[in-house]
Amino acid sequence: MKEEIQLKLQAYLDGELPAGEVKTVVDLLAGDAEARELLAELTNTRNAITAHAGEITVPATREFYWSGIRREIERQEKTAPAPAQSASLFGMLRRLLVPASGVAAVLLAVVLAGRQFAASEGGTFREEVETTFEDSGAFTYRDYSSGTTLVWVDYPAENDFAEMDLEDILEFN
Amino acid sequence: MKLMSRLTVLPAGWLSALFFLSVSFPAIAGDGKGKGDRFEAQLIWVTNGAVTNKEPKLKPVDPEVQKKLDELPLKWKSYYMVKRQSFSVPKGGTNAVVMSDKCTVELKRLDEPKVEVTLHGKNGNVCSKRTQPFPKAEILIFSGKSAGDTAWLVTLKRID
Amino acid sequence: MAEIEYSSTPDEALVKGAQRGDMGSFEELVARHRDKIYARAYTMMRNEDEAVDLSQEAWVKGWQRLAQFQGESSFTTWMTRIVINLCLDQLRKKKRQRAESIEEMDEESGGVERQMPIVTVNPTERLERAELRARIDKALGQLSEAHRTVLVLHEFEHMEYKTIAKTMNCSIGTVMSRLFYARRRMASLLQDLKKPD
Repeated sequence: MKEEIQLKLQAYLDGELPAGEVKTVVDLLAGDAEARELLAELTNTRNAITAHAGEITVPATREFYWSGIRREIERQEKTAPAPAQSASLFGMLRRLLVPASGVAAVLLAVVLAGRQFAASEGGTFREEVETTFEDSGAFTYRDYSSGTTLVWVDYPAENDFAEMDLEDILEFN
Repeated sequence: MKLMSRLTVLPAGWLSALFFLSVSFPAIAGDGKGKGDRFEAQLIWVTNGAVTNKEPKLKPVDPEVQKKLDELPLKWKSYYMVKRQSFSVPKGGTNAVVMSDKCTVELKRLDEPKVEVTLHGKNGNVCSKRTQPFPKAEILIFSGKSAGDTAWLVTLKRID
Repeated sequence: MAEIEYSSTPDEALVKGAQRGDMGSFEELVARHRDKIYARAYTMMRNEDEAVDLSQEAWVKGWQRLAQFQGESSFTTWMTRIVINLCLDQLRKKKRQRAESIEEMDEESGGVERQMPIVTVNPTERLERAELRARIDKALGQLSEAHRTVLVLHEFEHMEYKTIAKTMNCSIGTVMSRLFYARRRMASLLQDLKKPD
């Protein structure tokens, strides 16, 4: 099922489908079992999650929780500078930092230009980007909790890997 | 020596893969005992169907990898390890392992802990290239759909 | 002078009292709604300490901005927006510190959810409420922050797609895609809750 259709089914469930497209989705649901199953899954999932709402409570007593808030309110009210002083301090910092940031920007541009130049001459400059894709057909899923990255490479399906089947693998061993 | 004796019975795909590696990389990860940090690649076949004795070479996936796979949103129920290969990559160096005649994994160590991993397909075609931090706890999985209701995975992890 | 009976005073009156500087009224509002504000922070951050800190910070900001609250929405809705914005700021800070971009990874996830099976069994059929809650909570924790945030804003805050897009500073299409993926991932994670045959 195309992603566009999947998202329309979801929008139908959420009541966000434009009125002009509702009939199309209703017709689809009438004749497509897979669409009905997907809609049922989305509905069940939504209902299960919604039922979960409102069950989480603060892991601290009312007094302890409130005392932290109150202390912070009082601390900020005591330490907050008067508006005139604040404006003055901000103005002073701005007068100091704006020219400094200008100098920093120029320096950065010079450094980057130098590195780019080095790269063009066969230098070892690498982009500081942590993750790049040189193949536009791959999709990536990242699970931070388990430290797992899954790269799905058979999209589009016309590459070599999509053709790899068990016989290829077993023959190889 | 072991590699040499196996060459006599290798299919053409193997030979083409080895040829590709020999012209592409300074070192082929054979016994994996070179200097540098060690990595491990596993080729895994996944299916929803039952596996019979027709595929005796399939082995269960080791528990650590299985646990990671179970946490992924994949539809398959059964994972079988087809091949496991460990290899060493020196700091700043590159190495590659052949997982099948249509699948070779190349790993280049960049500034720690970053690595550049390239997945090569048939005849060395680049199918995917990825640069990312790769500390020991990480696992990187390349995956693709295969025939029928099956797929394959190549997992990569740093083992020391 | 009679002491104010805070516990029986409606929210609107407590808000007015707090706006006049009555800390007791504000304390009562905190006591009434602290679980909801904390819950929203927790569902987004998945960390108790962070959620406590951020929810308390939200209350402090709420106090400081009380003059801006004109009653266009309920007080809890207004406070929830404050805590959501604080959580989003915190997530953005964390994202900048992390090696990889949530959004970047997120937009690339389409190849995975298309492979998921459709889960047809209602996961609530077999489970006790507490067990279901625990499992859903765990599954929520396994979503990426971007996916979880969209899900939380839609399912718990009942925000429309366009409001979520505005809140998260992304397109409506991205919201739809993230929401779809988040739901499918949740369905996938809850698959083993199927009723036994």
